Amino acid sequence: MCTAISIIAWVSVFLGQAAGLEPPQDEASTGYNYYTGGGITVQGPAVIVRKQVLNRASVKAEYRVDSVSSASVDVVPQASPYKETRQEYSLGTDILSGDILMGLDYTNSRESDYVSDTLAVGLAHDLFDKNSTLNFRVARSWDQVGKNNDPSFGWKGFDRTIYAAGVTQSLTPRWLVQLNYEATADDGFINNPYRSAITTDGAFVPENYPDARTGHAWVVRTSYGFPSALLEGGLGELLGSVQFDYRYYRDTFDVTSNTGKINFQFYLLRDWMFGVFYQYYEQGAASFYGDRVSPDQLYKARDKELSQYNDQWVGLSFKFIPKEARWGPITNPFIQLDTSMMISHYDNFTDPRNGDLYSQTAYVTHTSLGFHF
Amino acid sequence: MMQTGVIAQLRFWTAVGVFFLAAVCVGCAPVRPWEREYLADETMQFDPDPLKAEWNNHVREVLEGARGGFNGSGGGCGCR
Amino acid sequence: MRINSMRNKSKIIPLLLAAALAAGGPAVAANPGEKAPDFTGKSLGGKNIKLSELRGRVVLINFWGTWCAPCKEELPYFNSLYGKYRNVGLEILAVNVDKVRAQAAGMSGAMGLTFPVILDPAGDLFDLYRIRNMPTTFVVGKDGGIRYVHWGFGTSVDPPRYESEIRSLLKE
Repeated sequence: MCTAISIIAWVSVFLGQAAGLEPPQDEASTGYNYYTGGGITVQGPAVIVRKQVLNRASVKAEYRVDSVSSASVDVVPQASPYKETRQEYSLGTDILSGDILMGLDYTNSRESDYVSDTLAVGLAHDLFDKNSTLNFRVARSWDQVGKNNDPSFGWKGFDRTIYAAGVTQSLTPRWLVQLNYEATADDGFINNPYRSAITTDGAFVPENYPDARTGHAWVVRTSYGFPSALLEGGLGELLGSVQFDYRYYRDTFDVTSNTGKINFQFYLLRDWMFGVFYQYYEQGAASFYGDRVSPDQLYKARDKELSQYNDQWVGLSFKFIPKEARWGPITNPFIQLDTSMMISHYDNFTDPRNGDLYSQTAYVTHTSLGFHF
Repeated sequence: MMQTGVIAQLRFWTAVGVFFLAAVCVGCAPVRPWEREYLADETMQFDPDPLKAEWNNHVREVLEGARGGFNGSGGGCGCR
Repeated sequence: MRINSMRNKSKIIPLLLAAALAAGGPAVAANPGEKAPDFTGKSLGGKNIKLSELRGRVVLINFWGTWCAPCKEELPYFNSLYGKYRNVGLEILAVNVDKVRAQAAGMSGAMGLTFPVILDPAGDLFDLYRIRNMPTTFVVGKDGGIRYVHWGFGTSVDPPRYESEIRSLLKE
């Protein structure tokens, strides 16, 4: 009841606010993504365009394609390598009213054995002269899980609901802090139809997951800027910044994890931005996960993503942004290249091909260019 | 049942966040609207580039067991 | 016990939301109807400009920074407005808050701005006019009173508004 009243209050204040300010800028960018590691290669292009329509609304369209070729250690013992293409498109609109920005997004993703539809609503409210921004987001996905070359499998339903709330606060003119909470609630067919668990007797049996999973993530992020030394009695241009992220996660599968990331970004030359980051991630295994499981166990999982695991991810980025450039309607053009390496160690997942504890090194690359118009 | 727990968690942690705001920020508006020069800079924003952020989140989600937590707007120029 | 504490927590949120709504009300800069606060500013060209000496002219006082995207849209528009109405009584003062003078000078030069750019790196004039948004523009009548305030710059919305406001004020 109280929630309903709050929502009605929000909407009426939202609609009643004077239309004085503009929604997000018009922009377009296109990029190419690449990942290779553990026998899987995923690559493909992506494009996004955002345009203002009417006075206080902006629409966004996004399209991406991922081509997957896989001989992953998860499926290698039982299946042959495969190739797959996933297409995803997304349409969204943002409406600005006073200090409140409301967004609505629809995303559809499809590949031969997986279809997903997602609807998301988000709200961002600037308060206290824009020193604070409150963010709320709810997203709901309706997925259909299939299995290639097995018509008897049919299509199984999998739903996901995401609730997110956060607050971003500027503490000083060069120090920003963000606190986020996000809950992800899954239900339906959660496991992977291609993967098997292995019992202590060495038999391959189908995995069996509970049909619900709820995870909670608590995140703190901070961004701190470094201006050049005192100039004419005041601080000068921004040289760059350092960002720290920390996330604590736990869910009803008993997976708990800690993520820590540090990211430096600074201007090497006037229009050249250079970045370097390092992330450390560790997690404990799900309660029903086992490299070998007892045959009597009700729930069984051998997904290495649910094992006791840690990764270290380090990367570099280069971005060229000629800020003064103005080519007709085009402003703020940029071109960037990011390249990184992720080293993963599994403490209780073995490679069935040789029985050793599994580890892998993955290379992740992203390149893109774009502009405002 | 699960859903009720999640909504209650969400409400509680939103309250915590807002109280944290009030406790931490002196006067709640430490940065005047014309002092946002550094906050407007791209290096001071969290995930300013949507294509790059989506790809990195996708890689994380596929390999790591944890989900979510890294979305959220704020900071920036505040100009519109 | 647990159920009660959950209920109390769920009541907090609507109250906080209501408080947030109240706190985040519409932006209010110096108001229409007030006299435009007098000041003396130093322009990029080195001249001292006193606002009260511009009585008898319609004055557009714009507050901007090179780091503000909509500011970069509106300055070329103001340039054309200045060219059109300067000889019949329009004055434009663009107050800049950049910490580094060279950035303001660079952008002003690149855009070929013909009106005075007043430097205010400490933000004293911004404080004086109680600026709540970047950019903000005040349209001041011949008597020195603030007649209109523009928050932000909408490329489709603001130019017609400026035209009609300036024309009507020039007629006074």
